[in-house]
Amino acid sequence: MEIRAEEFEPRRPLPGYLWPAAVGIAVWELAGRLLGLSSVPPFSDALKATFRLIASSEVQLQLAASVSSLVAGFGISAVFGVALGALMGRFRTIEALLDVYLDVFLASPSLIYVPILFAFFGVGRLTQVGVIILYSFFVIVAYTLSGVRSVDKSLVQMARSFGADERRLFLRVTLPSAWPMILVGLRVGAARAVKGMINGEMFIAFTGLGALLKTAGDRVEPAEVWGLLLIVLSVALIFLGLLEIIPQITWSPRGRDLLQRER
Amino acid sequence: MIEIQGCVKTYRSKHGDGIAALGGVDLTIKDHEFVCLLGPSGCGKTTLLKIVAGLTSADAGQVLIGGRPVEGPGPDRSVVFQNFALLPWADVFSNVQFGLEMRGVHPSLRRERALHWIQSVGLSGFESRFPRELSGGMQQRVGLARALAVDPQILLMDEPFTSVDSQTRRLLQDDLVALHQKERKTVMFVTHSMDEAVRLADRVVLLTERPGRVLERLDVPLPRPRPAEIRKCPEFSELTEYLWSRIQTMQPDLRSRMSERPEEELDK
Repeated sequence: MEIRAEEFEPRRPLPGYLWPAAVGIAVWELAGRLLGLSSVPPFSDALKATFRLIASSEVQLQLAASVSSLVAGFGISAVFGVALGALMGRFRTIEALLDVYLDVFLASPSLIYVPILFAFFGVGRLTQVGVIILYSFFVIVAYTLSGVRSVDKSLVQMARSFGADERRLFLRVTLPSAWPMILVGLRVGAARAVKGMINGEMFIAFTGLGALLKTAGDRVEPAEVWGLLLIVLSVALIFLGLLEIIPQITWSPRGRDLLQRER
Repeated sequence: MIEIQGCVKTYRSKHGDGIAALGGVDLTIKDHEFVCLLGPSGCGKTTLLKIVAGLTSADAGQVLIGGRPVEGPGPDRSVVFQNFALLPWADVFSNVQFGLEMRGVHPSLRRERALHWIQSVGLSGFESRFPRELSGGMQQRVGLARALAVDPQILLMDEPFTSVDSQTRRLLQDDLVALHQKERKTVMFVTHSMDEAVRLADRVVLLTERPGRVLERLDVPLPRPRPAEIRKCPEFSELTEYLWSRIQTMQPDLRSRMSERPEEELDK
């Protein structure tokens, strides 16, 4: 009898990337139970706290505030960051004009510009969105710029030999060639946006999840702090996961058709 | 008709010292003529082709096509590149359509023409393959189909078969001969292979080492159509031997220049 290999394909119990999490949780649970420290509750207690928190309307409200600031701030950064990066990559004069400042903003901690936002917008949502933009905008510009700049010169020459105008050259050669780099920039920018969200909320705007974390910390409620931490981690994971939709759409056969053949 | 009149080109390196690539080239290529530019590496063959293509400009002199000076790329010419220059993210079908797309040809006509040329270069069935999935020879067939799809009068070929292995190279040469027999395009073909030049050309133009000038214009009196067996004919080897002897006279000087950077690297 012939035996097909695929019939013996074992069912994988866990995708590889879940193992470190599983080990981490196990260690956490054990440490929480064995050490008996009030500051480190076992994982199961933290998880219970998470569900309790999620159920409360106060937490839901703050979560919505945080997430909407995150989406708004990152959205603005993504659109204008890619646009500015592309302009700098395309036009030498713009790059020469702005390159130094891009480096300055990339190198300096984003929180030092917050007092300026504070002066204009006060404590509130606008400041919060501004902080997120400060965190994510410049890195998206930098990645887009380097993607656009590293376009293969021989492809540019080829396109010119067929009489490509600037618009077609950009849409058909430069942008697709920079696209993988732009996607990396968006991912790094999204991760920084989440950081900016929490930092801004904890230290400046005192709203959203960050504010909850801070008050829970001040009140010395370890289970709640850890529970909020799990919520923040989930927000970050879901946000970055959603971003993966972009490459999946643009690299699917249908997305490629849209990118390549129309117009 | 392509008239190249007194073309001079010097590349400036970053330190300001110039490298003279072309030292005044005069050459006329008739309509439907197949001309091979032959010469030692770094003699400015590629530079001359790029000037004719309108991708770079001469420091002095000019190129006339049909009596009008070349000021940039035009619909009468297309280029086949040494490194193929295919879009790596696009499949064969899209790559062949690229030139037509840049010229604003209507999508339905574009598809029709692309399919026709994909078939003509023997790539039917490979329409949805990506360049990385193809051999070098097949990639250059895509490059050739892309160049021919825009229906140019002049085909500018920059060492198109240098990046493929020697067996594939012969096959590509045979196909190009057959294609030329049918299409009768004016072809300017850069090569450093004497065998290739004699196999393909109506006329071989020998350039000197840098700064390149025309050393000799040699008619290839072999009859057309030209089958692959033409290599066995005594005239074929006579011609290649003659070209080799002419190139050898340039050798001593050539060796001393080997350490310098070839002009292609500076041409950015």
